[in-house]
Amino acid sequence: MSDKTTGNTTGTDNFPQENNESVKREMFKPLSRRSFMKAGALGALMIGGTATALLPLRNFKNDTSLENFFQQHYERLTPERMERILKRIEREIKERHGVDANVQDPKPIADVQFAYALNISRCIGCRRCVHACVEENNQSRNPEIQYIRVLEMPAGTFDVEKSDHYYSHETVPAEGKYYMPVQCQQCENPSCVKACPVSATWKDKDGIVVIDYDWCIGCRYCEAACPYWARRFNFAEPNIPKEQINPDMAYLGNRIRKKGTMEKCTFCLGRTRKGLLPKCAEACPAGARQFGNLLDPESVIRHILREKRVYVLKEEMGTRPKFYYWFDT
Amino acid sequence: MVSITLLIPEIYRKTTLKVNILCIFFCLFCTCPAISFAFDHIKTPGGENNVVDYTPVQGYLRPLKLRRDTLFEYTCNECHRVFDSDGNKKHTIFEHTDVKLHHGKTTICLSCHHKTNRNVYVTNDGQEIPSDKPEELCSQCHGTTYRDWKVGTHGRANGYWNSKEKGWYLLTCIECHNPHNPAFPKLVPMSGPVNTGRHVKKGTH
Repeated sequence: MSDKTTGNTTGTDNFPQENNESVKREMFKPLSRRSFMKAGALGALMIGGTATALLPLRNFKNDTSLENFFQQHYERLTPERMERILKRIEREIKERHGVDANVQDPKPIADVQFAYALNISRCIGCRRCVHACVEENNQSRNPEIQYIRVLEMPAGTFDVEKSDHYYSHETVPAEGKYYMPVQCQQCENPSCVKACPVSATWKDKDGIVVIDYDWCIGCRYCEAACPYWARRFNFAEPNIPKEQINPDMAYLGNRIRKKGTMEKCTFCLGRTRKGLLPKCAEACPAGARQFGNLLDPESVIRHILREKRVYVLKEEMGTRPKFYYWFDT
Repeated sequence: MVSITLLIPEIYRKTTLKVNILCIFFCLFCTCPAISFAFDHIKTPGGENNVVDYTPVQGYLRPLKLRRDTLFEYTCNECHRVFDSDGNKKHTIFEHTDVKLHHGKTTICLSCHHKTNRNVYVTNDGQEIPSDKPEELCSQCHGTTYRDWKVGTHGRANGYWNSKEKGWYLLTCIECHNPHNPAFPKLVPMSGPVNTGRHVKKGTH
């Protein structure tokens, strides 16, 4: 077989090492036109392939700035750096949306653990809370993101698998149903925090589970880990009509997010850390929602936990949610 | 990309099998994502270049204003001193005809309104209740609701979550409930999540 080899003029066997002369001739043969064309074509393919792979970088200027790209994790930011970042965010929002935003970074209040109570005897399933939340938290309208999901349950069972969340009757409440809105439960032992591979989400000092939107890589592990499906992902760049943008924003709360980050209910931390109520609690026309401080023995939440019939969702998961459902009638 | 040079026979002959496999592996590693990026603008739902159709967001209900806002400047007694009115009926004949009493088992006006002093409400034993304290009237029958209201578990949450905060307030009964027809009408539900049809039909879990 070695005799018929085309490139081997001396007709030697399979082991060119045994014949130094022919090896040298092989290695240092002058470049043929064929090889040059091959190399040229392949080189062009190489460059073309690399260019295609780097195509997404075209949007770098629109999506982010270099300063944002190298921004540190929230917990490592100094107050001065945070000031600069807030100003930069306000500038970006002005450029992109034409709105004069006021982005702040309210810190947790000492001796406060926020908790929520929801009276399912009163909830009528009107979804006013859902839309008040969407307006307050600058959620994308198209594709639509809603932090609160109202489940319509048949009377007589707690089994959520029998619920319907797409209901749209002419009027609510419908006969023989009760309603249970579900949002982030701000768990004491959150699964989402454990799942995050980059620590972009953590439980803050006042019990609210927060997300650093600039640190989040958008892997959605937290969405998979959450037993209540509280976390939403921005599959596309958020679309919010300019006149509906809420200009009072918080860095960890309701500022306008980018495509590829997670978001969720934050108990309106931009409001609650200043003493106000979350928007959903204010919006409920039936008075089904109560909000307060677990550490204050005279708060409405503590009263409910003492006096009323309270349950939590998916207790067996061990997440210890701070969203208490109760009923009295 | 470097591994494309493997296609040149002169170079291929000099490499070992292991190096070849490694190069091809890395080659695929780069080209596969590169190809997918080229199709990105098709895959992304509602992508950046699409025309948007914003889902209209409806306003939400606010509580009813104080009934007192609808009265004229003069107080009730100024008419009722002159005109005699038999409060032992459920319906009126000439005035207040817009008031339709649908309050549970309450049958007559005088259940709540004082017989002689129409500026005030009345207790069960005929005492006067000032008109700015309707909860004292309502609590006579709705005691448990009054107890819940005082603590904050009945009624809309207002303003602040800390009841000790300056400016915290409780809405009085008639600021939400129409005393003559206290039951709330059913509401039209606002829009829910978009049903893309991809999820299983309900009831088939």
